[in-house]
Amino acid sequence: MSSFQSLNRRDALKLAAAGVSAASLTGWLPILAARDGEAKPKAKAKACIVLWMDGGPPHTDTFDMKPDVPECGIYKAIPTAVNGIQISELLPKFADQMKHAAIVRGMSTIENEHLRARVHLRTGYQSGQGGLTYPSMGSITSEAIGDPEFPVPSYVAVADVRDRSHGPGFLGPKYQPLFVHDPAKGVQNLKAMVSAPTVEGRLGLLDELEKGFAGEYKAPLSQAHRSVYDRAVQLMHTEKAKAFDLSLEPAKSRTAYGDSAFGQGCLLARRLIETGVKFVEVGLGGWDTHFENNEAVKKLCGPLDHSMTALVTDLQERGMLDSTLVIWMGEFGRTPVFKGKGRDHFAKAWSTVFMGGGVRGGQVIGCTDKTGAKVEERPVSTADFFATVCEMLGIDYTTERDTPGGRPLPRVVKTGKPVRELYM
Amino acid sequence: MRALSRTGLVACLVASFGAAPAVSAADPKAVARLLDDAIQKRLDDAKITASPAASDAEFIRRVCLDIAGEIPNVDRTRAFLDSKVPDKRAKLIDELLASPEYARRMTDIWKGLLIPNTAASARQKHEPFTQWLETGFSANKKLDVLARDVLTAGGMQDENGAVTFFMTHESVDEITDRVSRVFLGVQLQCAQCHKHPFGDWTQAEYWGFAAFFTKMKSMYVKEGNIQRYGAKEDNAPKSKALLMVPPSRKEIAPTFLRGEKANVSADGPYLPALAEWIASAKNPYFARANVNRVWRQFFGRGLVNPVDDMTDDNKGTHPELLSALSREFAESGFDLKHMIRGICNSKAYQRTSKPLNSNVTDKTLYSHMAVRVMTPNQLFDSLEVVFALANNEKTPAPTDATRKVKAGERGRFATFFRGEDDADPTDYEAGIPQVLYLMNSGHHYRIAKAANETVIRTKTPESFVETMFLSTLSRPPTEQENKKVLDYIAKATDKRAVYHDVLWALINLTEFISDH
Repeated sequence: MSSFQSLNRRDALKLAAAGVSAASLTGWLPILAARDGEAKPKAKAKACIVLWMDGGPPHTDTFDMKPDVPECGIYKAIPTAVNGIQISELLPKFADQMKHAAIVRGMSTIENEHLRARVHLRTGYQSGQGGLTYPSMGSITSEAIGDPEFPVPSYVAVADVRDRSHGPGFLGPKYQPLFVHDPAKGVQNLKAMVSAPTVEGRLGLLDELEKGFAGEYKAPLSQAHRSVYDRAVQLMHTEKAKAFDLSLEPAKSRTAYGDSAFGQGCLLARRLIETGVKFVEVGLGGWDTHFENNEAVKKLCGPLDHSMTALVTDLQERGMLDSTLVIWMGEFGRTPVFKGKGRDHFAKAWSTVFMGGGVRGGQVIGCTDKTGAKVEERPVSTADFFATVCEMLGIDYTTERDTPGGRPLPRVVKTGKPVRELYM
Repeated sequence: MRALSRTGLVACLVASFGAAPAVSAADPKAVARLLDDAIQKRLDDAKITASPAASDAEFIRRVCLDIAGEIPNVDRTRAFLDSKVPDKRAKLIDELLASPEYARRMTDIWKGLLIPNTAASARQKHEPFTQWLETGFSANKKLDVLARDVLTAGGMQDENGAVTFFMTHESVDEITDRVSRVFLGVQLQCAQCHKHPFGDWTQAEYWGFAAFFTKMKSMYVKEGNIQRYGAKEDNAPKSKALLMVPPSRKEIAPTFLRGEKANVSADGPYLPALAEWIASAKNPYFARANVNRVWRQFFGRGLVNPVDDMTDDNKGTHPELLSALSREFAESGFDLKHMIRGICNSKAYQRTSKPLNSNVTDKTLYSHMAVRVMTPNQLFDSLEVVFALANNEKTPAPTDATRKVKAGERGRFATFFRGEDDADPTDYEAGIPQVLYLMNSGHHYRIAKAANETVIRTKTPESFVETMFLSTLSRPPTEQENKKVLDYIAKATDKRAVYHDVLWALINLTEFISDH
């Protein structure tokens, strides 16, 4: 069913690309109509963890091996727990968990520069498009399925590379992520230096004194400042903030996740999801391997393999995997051929990995050609990717919201169609 | 992401430097008039009424934050508000421009522009660079000289701090992007791999420009136990390249943007020619990029936005004003203080940031001043101004050691509060961790000390409240605020700690963290 639809869409795209406008029009209409009418599968995922490989990981050294093409890399492909699926020898532990994972090998996107690509893959829109700042997937999730009364922010980013692509865009400061720089330290200064009644008194005074400036200057800043203070005070008052304190975790599980910042970030993600947070991003940076690609990838895959495996295993053992969607991704892939000793940015063909949250594991969706340079089957655009993540989380990706300019805008660019074979 | 077209460049050259003569470089008031005429014309065209002039209290706080990077202390504020001198605003501007805090503020800005925020950069010492910048800004080094000094820096870092600029970059493409964004106000990076998608920068132009940076070599000397590092342009085949060259590089001889080949020889240095071309009065990009950036420092937005993406398709809101100010800047010999004096003496800069009902939606025509958010450094330095209330005759004078500790604290604070690179100055960037720091961190003790000392000095609650408002918000309390705070003090059971509460509340206000 779904592959039939995707075929339709590809045909329409081909026709459009060939400049057959009348044909593309007729090709589009039924698809757009279907977008509204079709039955939507029931979402299983209630929360999402994104493992963000900042810089762009090379697909041909990780999840889309080309063992017969020397140009594609020096690392070998190894069998996994699922017959017929091979991944890189740098990910041996994860290979054993393949039954939980689905590899999408047909990612095909359009931004080749880091910041623009981060904006594109975190928001689903293109940087600067229509003069708007777009909300990130974390902010969208927070707005759509987060509980506004929940005392911990619904969206937490454990990241050392921070830029506007993480932000809430036009959704506003309520959906801003809580950034955790160092997972081992969690959120500091949660405890006031004065007694509880004094805190209340001070906050009351602050509230009174805010009124004059907010009324006279009418700056958006007043509302943003107020919103962040409200959320910070809520966090000070809630027991649930203990989720940020990794020292409360038994030594055994701290070790199981590995002592890298990424590993501890994965552990923090599990604790936060367990406590009710809806969206956690954990970053592993350093994938921009223009120079010395092989050494860098090997170094990064060590903690990646160890900690991603620990996360999936732990979620499974706690019965949380089915309700937690885990996505491994970067902002693009890297050239399958070497440039010197490195690999350059490559958006045309790359891979992402989906786990949990209703994903039918142990499958590969789409493929690249024999050189890893072109998507041959089942291309997935950024819009398709966003429609997929939304649908899996039970977020209607067609919903239109009013933007600051007054123009209604759909959550996901209209061409987006979910990759349903992932979970149906 | 668009580029100046070739014809656009010519038009821009003529507009910038060929038309009417510039106003007298000696008269900042003339610059202010030129600026106000241009702003007023656009407001008239749009039939928008401008807000009235800022009060003295608004003005002193704003101009101190913008020029000196910190709020005025209570004594300065009182003296200014009480002064009857007719041109006290112009005098204050001059005083601030002559202060060491001006050099510190400009150093913060230019360090942010020239030193990348990367892990590789963090491994290098930055202090020699900040010291070098601060010395330059103290002496009002002209911006063309500063640019040339940076771009031709060579030698050991401990002898020439400017060379830190090269040492904190990793690759030729990284430095190409930075030089074009900072000194020319254009973005070339997309042209690295393919023709620029929205403009006409070609790959050949990109690599022709990048070629200037390919001779930078690293220097290392070990003398006994002391290791010294540096960098310089060098032809020796054995010397180690400082900047990595991306494998995708196209071999193209050093070429200025828009195609003029540089007159350099293969066995000589490349960068002096580049520096000469960039920081020349004949180069229209340099003056425009820097006027636009100075403008943003004082108005919260550029005449063209983003400030590093100035192209023909992106002319901005007041192209004629930008051209006139660029001409003025070039003819003044790229004198930053002259430009700043002109801007700060203008009516547009001295307007209140309170909008009228009729101009509240205007964000681009300067009908009222933008409310900006303090940068992390402004916030740190302003908190220091407030906490200095704790000083009394027993407070020891600062020593080199205490200054060093303070500088470290300032650096960590700025890192913790840093938002995204080159954020919109009106965007609130602080998140929950930063707010928790302001509410609950160890500076609790400094709040207590500052409040205690002020209680001793002011004697009555009324006088305490007035002093605290002047110290934090640079204005006296309104009648209503005064009553609220005095009621709060009167009702409190802990007659000592209640004064801490008042100062705590004041420095956690939106108004405190704003530059309005």
